Amino acid sequence: MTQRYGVSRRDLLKALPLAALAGAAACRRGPRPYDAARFAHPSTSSVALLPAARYDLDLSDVVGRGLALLKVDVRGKRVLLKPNLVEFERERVINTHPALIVGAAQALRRAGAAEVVVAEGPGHRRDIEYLLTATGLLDYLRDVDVRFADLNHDDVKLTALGSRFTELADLLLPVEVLRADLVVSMPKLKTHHWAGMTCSLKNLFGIVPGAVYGWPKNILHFRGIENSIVDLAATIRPGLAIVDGIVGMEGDGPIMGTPRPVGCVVMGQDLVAVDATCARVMGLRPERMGYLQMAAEFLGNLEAGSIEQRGERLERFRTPFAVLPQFANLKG
Amino acid sequence: MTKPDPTSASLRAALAASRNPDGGWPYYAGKTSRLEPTSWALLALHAAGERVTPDPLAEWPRRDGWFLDRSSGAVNVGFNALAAIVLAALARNTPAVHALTAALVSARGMKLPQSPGFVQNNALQGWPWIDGTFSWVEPTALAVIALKRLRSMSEAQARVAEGQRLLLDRVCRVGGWNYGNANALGSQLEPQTPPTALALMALRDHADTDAVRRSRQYLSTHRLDEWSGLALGLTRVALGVFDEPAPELADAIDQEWRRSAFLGNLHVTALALYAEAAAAGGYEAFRV
Repeated sequence: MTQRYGVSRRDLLKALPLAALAGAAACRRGPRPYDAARFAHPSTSSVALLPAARYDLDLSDVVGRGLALLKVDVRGKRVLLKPNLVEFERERVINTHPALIVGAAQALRRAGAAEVVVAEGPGHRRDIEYLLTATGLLDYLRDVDVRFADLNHDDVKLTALGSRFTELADLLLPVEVLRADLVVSMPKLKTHHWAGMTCSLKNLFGIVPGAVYGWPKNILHFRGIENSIVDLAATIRPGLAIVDGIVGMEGDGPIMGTPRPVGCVVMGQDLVAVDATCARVMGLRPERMGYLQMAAEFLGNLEAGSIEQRGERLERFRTPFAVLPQFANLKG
Repeated sequence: MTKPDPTSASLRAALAASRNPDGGWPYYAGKTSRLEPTSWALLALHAAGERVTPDPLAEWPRRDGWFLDRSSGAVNVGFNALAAIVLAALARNTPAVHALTAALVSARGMKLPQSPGFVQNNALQGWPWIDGTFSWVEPTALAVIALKRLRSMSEAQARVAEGQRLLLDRVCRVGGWNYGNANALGSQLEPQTPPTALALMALRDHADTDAVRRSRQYLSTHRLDEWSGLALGLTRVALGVFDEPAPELADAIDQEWRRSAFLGNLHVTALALYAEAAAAGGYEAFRV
């Protein structure tokens, strides 16, 4: 049986263990798998590009300027920062840098957030104590007294999905995420060997709890990586992205790639616009990425003409990233 | 007279203080009881000579032989295999154990076509984390150990053999295992300590194979490289199962407990207690 948006049995059997069905959304027909009335598509979106050449700068000041440029109001809110913490290899730049995570936490506190918590649920390595220690994030968090929440092992609540590209009706999601007033996606700017690019939207995979769905979170692969990215974004509805573009990763990301200095922090409240901007920084064509196209239908803006750049001009940071051969079509 | 062990006492106190009124344990104090931390806590306290009453697994919600997640009703195959290991260690022989054994025997990861991106045999079926997905190292290792411990069904033997073939197929080039792919897109992937320890214990009866020898060497050499309660605890248990002395691991676990309290994770706390309390007995629960 062929299913309209999701995954047929035949598709599934063709799938790779991890790649699985990234193109399942390509043949969409018929009614859209979301209720457009539930989403207020912005007419325009603002994205801030802020220079930051090194991690030893005052990154709380950088993020604070971004919050001001974007007029983000966090007063009294419980804020959850979701960095990209995947794996630790000493010579690689895999994860959102702890200095930026802590800088964001400090800036948000100064802006009046009632609580800031850092939370992550790594998809391949369930040993969060090791990851926090090896990356140095645990020490950074202790220095500024910020709590860490382990999303892989948090209590969960059945949550109806905001869209159904995966054809799943719901997922069990961590209570810590569901009770936050503002979820902030904090990815590392990287290429990705299945999705082309991983940024603030793909980063949401880490919210799905491993203690329920396993390591890796295979159900997301089987339901289509792109479908899953969009369904998670439509469900969690993060209100802000802060992208670590100080040093990114090109080539065989998200783990095996090579460092690529860019020297910027990218921020915005429309995650589609943030990811589209980051793709352009990387020399990639966002309109050629399936999940960005899908998300742009109802979640945010993809077209450059609908995105207002604040802070520095994009051209200042444009840094062509090397991609794997299968993503050569993304280069523009 | 043996010296009192302050770390064991402290670990036991942490478990006692965080037990829920329903008799189970959460991952973190104050949260819902979950199957994995409850299973580890029962095993650890049993090894430490404590009788746990009431028995939380006796009242745990079940369906078709499986223990269900208390809050969601979901089935996690890997943690059910852990629960089976614990029930075997507690010498339970009840209809519930038989039903769980049958459920484990019937569960299998999806068979997939070969892929040019992965040099591995995708036709092998071990155990998935959840129904309808691929086989991965941790649930496969736990299920192999559980079925070997229970020894109650002849049908289990074929499943154990296939699970072991899958583990041998997924060993990393340098030895050891990660979550489940030794390579991807032409890159050799790195092993991780916790799945390496579990897979080694599941392959103890294949100790003479090159893959197991390499992996034992890897774990032994890197025993202190991953500094966490989970990695150090599982390494201590796995090396103990292979009768390899590792006295420095007890000190490392003690240091890590005092440094981080394992970030409050109670399944790791229970594992650390088991690693200490069951050392003298040779970790019988995992010795298959």
